Amino acid sequence: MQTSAKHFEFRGEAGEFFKIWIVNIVLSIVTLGIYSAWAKVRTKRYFYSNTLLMNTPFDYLADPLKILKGRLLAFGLILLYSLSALLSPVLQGAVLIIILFALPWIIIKALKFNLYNSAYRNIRFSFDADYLRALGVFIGFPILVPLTLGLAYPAFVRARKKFVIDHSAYGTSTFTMEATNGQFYGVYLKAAGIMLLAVLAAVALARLNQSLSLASEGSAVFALLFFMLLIWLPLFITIYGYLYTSISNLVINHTGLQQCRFESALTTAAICRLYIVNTLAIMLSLGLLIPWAMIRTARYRLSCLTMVSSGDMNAFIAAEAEKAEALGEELDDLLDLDIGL
Amino acid sequence: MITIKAIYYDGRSSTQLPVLVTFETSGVIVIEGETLRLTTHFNRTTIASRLGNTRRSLFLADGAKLETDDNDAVDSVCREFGQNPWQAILHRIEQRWLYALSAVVVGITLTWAAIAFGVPLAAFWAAKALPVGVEQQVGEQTLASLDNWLFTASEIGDAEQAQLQQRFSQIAATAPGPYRLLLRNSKKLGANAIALPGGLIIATDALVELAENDEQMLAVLAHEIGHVEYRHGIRSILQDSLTAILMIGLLGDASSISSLSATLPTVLVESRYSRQFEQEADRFALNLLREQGIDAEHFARILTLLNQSHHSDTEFDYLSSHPATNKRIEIIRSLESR
Repeated sequence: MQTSAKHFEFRGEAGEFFKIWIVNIVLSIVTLGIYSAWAKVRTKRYFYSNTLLMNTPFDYLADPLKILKGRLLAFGLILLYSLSALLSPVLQGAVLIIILFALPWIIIKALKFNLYNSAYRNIRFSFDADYLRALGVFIGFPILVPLTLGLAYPAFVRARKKFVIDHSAYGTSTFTMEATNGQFYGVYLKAAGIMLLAVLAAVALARLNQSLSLASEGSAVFALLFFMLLIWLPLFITIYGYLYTSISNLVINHTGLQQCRFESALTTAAICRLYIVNTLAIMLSLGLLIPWAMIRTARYRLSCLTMVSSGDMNAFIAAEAEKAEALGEELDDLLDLDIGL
Repeated sequence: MITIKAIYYDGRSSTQLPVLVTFETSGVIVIEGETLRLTTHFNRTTIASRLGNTRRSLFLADGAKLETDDNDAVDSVCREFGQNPWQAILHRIEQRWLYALSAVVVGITLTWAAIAFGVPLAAFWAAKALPVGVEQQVGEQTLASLDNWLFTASEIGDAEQAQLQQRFSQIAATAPGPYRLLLRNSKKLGANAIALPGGLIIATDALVELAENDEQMLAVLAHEIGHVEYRHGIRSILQDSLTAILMIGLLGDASSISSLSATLPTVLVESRYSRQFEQEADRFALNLLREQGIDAEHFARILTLLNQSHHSDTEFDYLSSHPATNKRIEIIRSLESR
């Protein structure tokens, strides 16, 4: 069978989604938060169903009742933790250690829930990983990173991505991520290089400025602010955009699923522009443009995504997947963990 | 009878099969494709609620699934069999701009109402339900960390301390709770008094020195007793957490870019809450002082002194969370003249 490229497509519209979003919020308030579980499912369904591959949408299948139960349980646990903080620091420390060791479990459960409830062509995705491996990736590495003065960080990012992708499956077919440590270090090295150059340039400029200026202290402060805003802010946004883009592309371009592989062509410039415009729009509209920002972000990211397949798209087989509970997912949501895929 | 075009998936493989689906008035559903003919019943089929114009899923009992773009036809089938009427209403609401715009107005109003009235009320009831022991433990805990971090032992002479304690227990005796007055020295706080949950009241040496007579001192202490009586400490902790939870609930699904919009209103309402608490404590103090036959003018005077002493340099501004001192003094005088 010959190779063919299939583009992902996003059909969501900001106007349509805005109405769904605002109704979600109002119903969530009116029902004192109970509807928020249904709101979450509707939002996710909207994005999944508007993501199409070969003119076929993805499906989000989670049961809102399960999410509600998970959410209440997660909420109760977090409340307990906050109360323990009020009562005694020793108790809080103990709870914190328990949470630390529960973290890998929470992450596995959250991924399980999300993937089990994602489907394409009526075949579910799934996630299966053991606790010890997750402990190494999510607790071991974060301890190692400061000990190596950050040198282990690119390896940590790779381990995280690899953990998530290698344990994911579509039906009976498992995903694989083949990007090497060398490639991850390459990306971070380049980012560090840009940073170094920018710092050197800034120092040189500051020297120049100093030797030229005869001015008072006031204008020196002004010059400093000017530097911060004009050089540092764009620099940080660029570096952030560069890292996000390169890592996403690297990971996706080295991800495979049987005879399929994926291609991602995000560009740093577009990601930075997206990020800046979204942030400004959300701030200036007091949050009302959040749906618009979500839609255009999804549209751009999916427009850059392609699947290259040399096999039969009808040949994927469903697996006997175990059912997933929502507690992990909701804890993850409330704790705002960044699993990052 | 309604017939629609759909794609059939058996749930075992990713094969797509184009089919015609016929909904008969009896509730029987007939699915016909090139290599397939099967019948099922409406009661054994779960139809996903309509969501914008996304493709509709119909889940069959055996794990198979139909996908169709013909949303309107599926809607009319649902109507005919009276299934999920409220889902249809939900879709109708989500479709119209008029409803969406009213939702914006209702949403903002409700959020404001929840923060302005709902949260304080909930915190009030929660504080009431809290066992006294918990509140006392929170107070002791806070005192221990404050002693470590901020306070040194008081340098006020024993005789003066004993006199102050005696007059304090006189006014505290009329209030229900058990109270303890603690004197502490702190450079950072300057002239200040703090009420902790459970009835611990701390006054700094600088405050004792600032007060020109015992009555002024008692006025400040009465104000702090007011804070404890109304359980302001525990209530403000509860209110802060509740506001934060409310914001997470509201914006939790709106992705993390919104964290700024979640913290900003929280900060804004916090100062509003504390102003209300100060006014409550002031009123309590005035009543207590009147019962004890202490002229409210002493209260006004010590507020002026505090204002002057804090005008310049201390890190912790006793008055920052309080309403403008002049306004408070005005209120005190107006109540007194009545």
